[in-house]
Amino acid sequence: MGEVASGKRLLALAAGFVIWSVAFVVLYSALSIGCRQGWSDVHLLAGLSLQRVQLVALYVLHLLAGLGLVVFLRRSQFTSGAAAFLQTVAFYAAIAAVFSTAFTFAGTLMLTPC
Amino acid sequence: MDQPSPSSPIKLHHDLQAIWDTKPGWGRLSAVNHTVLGKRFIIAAFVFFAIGGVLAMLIRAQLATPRSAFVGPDIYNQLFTMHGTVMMFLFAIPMFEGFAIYLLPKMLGARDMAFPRLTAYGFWCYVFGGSILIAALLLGVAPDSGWFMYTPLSSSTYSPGINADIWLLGITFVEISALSAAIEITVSILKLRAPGMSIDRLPIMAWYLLVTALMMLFGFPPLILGSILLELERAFDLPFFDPVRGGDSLLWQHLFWLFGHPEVYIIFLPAAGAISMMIPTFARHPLVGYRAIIAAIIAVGFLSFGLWVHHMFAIGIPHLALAFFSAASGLVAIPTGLQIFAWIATLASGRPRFDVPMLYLAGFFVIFVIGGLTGVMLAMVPFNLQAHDTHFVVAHLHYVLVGGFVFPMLAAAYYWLPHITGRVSDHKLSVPAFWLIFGGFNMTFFLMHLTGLLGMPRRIASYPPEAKWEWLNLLSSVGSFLMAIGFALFVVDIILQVRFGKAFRRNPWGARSLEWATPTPPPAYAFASLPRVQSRADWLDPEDHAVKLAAGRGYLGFARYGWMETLGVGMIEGEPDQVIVLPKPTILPLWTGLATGAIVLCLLFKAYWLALLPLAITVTLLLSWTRTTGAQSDLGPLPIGHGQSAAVHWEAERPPSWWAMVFTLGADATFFASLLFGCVFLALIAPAWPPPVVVSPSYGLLALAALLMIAAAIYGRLALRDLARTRSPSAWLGLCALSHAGVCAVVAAVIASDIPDPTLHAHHATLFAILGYAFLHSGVGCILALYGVQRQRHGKLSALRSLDLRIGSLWHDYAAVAGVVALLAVVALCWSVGGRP
Ligand code: HEM
Ligand SMILES: [Cu+2]
Repeated sequence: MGEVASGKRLLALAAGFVIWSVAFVVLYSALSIGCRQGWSDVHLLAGLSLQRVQLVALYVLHLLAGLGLVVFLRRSQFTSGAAAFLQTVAFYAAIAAVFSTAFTFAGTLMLTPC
Repeated sequence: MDQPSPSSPIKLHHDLQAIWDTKPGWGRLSAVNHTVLGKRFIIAAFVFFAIGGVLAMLIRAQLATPRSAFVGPDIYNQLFTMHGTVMMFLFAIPMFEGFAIYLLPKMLGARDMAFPRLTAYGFWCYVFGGSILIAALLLGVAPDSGWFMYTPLSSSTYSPGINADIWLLGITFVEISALSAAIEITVSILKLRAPGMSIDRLPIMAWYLLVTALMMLFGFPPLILGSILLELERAFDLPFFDPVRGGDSLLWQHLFWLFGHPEVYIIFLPAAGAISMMIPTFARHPLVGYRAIIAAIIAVGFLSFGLWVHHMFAIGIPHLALAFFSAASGLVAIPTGLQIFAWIATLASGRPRFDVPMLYLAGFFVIFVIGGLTGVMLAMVPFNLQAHDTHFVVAHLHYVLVGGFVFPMLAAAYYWLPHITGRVSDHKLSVPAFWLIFGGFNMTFFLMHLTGLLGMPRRIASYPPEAKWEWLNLLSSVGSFLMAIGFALFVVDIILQVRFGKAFRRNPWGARSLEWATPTPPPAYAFASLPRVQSRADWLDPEDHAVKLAAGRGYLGFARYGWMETLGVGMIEGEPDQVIVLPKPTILPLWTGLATGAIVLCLLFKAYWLALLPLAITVTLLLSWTRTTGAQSDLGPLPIGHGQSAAVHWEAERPPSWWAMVFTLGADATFFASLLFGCVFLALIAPAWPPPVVVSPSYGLLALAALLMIAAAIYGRLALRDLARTRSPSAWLGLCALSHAGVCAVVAAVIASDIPDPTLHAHHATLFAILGYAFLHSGVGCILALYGVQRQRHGKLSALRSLDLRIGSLWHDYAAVAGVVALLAVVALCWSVGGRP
């Protein structure tokens, strides 16, 4: 295996939590921008504010990305050895990351945004 | 080239010793060996622990009674600031570095760390930086704005003296050593292992240290950036944190805690790694949940970057954002808890044996769990707002830090001391020492929860008797003196063991990891030959390996050309892919450290132009490190034993130094991202915007700079291409250097014409900082290109020996990408405040 290919395989260990980190940066920025622009006062249908809708959309999007990664890593291509080991650990980490994403940003569903 | 013929174990030992040993006398100053430097780091860190401890005693003496007249508030401010600073930066981090440097190569089955001279340089930077801080303390001008140095208290208006500069410059100096250690640890774990140690066979400690080192690479840059910006403000009045001119003191808090919270885990994870090595030994059972633990460490590594705002809950940010940080703070307890359960499960599945290290681990357990619980309490925003800045926080942070770091390190000291000295003790003093430390600790700090809940703020030099805290404080102080006696006993115990302990043959604890396969005390070369690992490296048979390795029956069981050799392996499968030739002992790291120290001193005493002299000397010295590396002819594959062969590292595809550059650029990119974050933060959040005068940049010059940056990267690549075709790369390298120099000139022109006065407003100061970043990167690029020309002239380059140019090319590429981003950022920041063309 080439060294750069090895490097990529190692990076898979971090993939799940990279999605969590991106979610963090994106949601925190979207929240700050939305509050600044007064999006919580822009009402869309059924009493939902623009701020709420965009935050929940971003929340769901990152959850889906995380779940996609979990599914991808579950389809194991290796049966034994170091590569299989890395995939298993990456899979565990991805599950932990989806759970973390769901938990950390659950506030977007019900808390006052600003 | 033939493989040198095998020799008797004694002869092999003598041959290797002649090559690897550090010379006595003045020769000690040129030590680069990991065993020597690991011990020095540990001893130096312990000395700083003692200093921090004395400061803690003075603090407790002051707080023992109400209206104490022992020291005044000015001195008290210095005491607690220096106590916190010394403990965090000069004790905890270097102590773990010392452990890692001493143990890692031995656990991985290598003969040294990847960059021995860097280890030495890091050591000197640490000692010199620490000395500057301690000298300031003795002279009564120590930093006094608290260990997190909040602005505006630490700005020149409120701290006009040299005190704050000492913190900013001294700690940044020490950080050089932390960053170099982080790069070195990362690369060593990924590349310098015994053959057969595939990634799924790493000893668990290596995983812990890998994640820790990566966290340092991403955690320290924000702090270094913050320190540089604040020093720029203090020295040159660039208003990054001044709210009147578009700065914001909250920017400091963000940058500091972006580093500060991960720092807590950077301290805890290595200790947890040590625990994960000790528990299996005493449980006589392999660690339970190896893979789950690795996933948990990765989770901690990331989550700990998402909770820094829990130190700033009181600053007034949107509720929902508070919820994010609060949730992440609570969440991080889960992977930490998982590790604790894995340790319990290991003990439950094995046949545990009780001994002194286990006693200290029991202490860890009790204290750390309490600290974790108060941590979860503090993570909840409503409670936090009540307990914020009270002694409850002091109690919590000591339960976590002393429980999570000091106790495991005491256990580790007892566990690995026999390895360092080759002696075991009867532990007569170890048990009373434990009870004094443990009892004294709880008496000192448990009571602080109560004073905190009764409303006693932290960082106060005196309190009125009416406050009703006096008994609790007095008892707390008595407890701290009991603890101090316990530590004194520990020191005596260690000295007794070193002096009078009984010698033993091998592996007194019956451990199952490779460090116990070296002779004890270990020789400089660690292993006479390198093992082939067939099972997980924290559950193998060190005795069996030891005999074979000493007899030279492993890899590299010979002395060749007087070289210090170890093996590099593929990162995942762990098969040898190169012979790494390590540098000989040299005094250069010491000189370079001294020259770096001279820069710091010049800056401290505001001799800015004079600082250019030691800067030039430092760069020259750093370049001169490379005179002894590489070769003037191609060697081809060398035999490594067992009928295998491998290329020498400078002819290999991906040698350690190439990876080191990749990780350096990773840290650099984090630095840059933090800088951009800061600029955007100020433009969006800070008061006093828009600026009175908006910069309208010279677009023509900016475009020229961008073109030159890209050209430099392309020339770097063309040089490499010509070298591969066995043509001289010098002309391309010359063009590359010229382009970089051109970038410097153009950027300097932009600064001169568009930002004549960067002190005017943060808008100008931030643009200045971004352009300065681009300028510096092209400056370094220019030096690297010229260095390539020099290597060519000395005949060190060939199609096979292209390493120097490949490393240079990584830099030129990065400089181009980051430089163009920087220029775009400049334009965007100008437009955002209305400076359209
Ligand atoms: C050895 C026994 C120790 C004692 C008796 C002790 C005592 C104290 C006390 C009383 C304070 C509060 C000062 C105040 O707010 O007025 C304090 C602050 C602090 N301690 Fe310790 N400490 C000890 C060890 C440690 C260790 C091992 C660490 C870190 C590894 C540490 C890190 C800190 C930090 C970061 C602060 C905050 C300083 C600040 O407010 O700027 N301490 N310590
Ligand atoms: Cu924290």
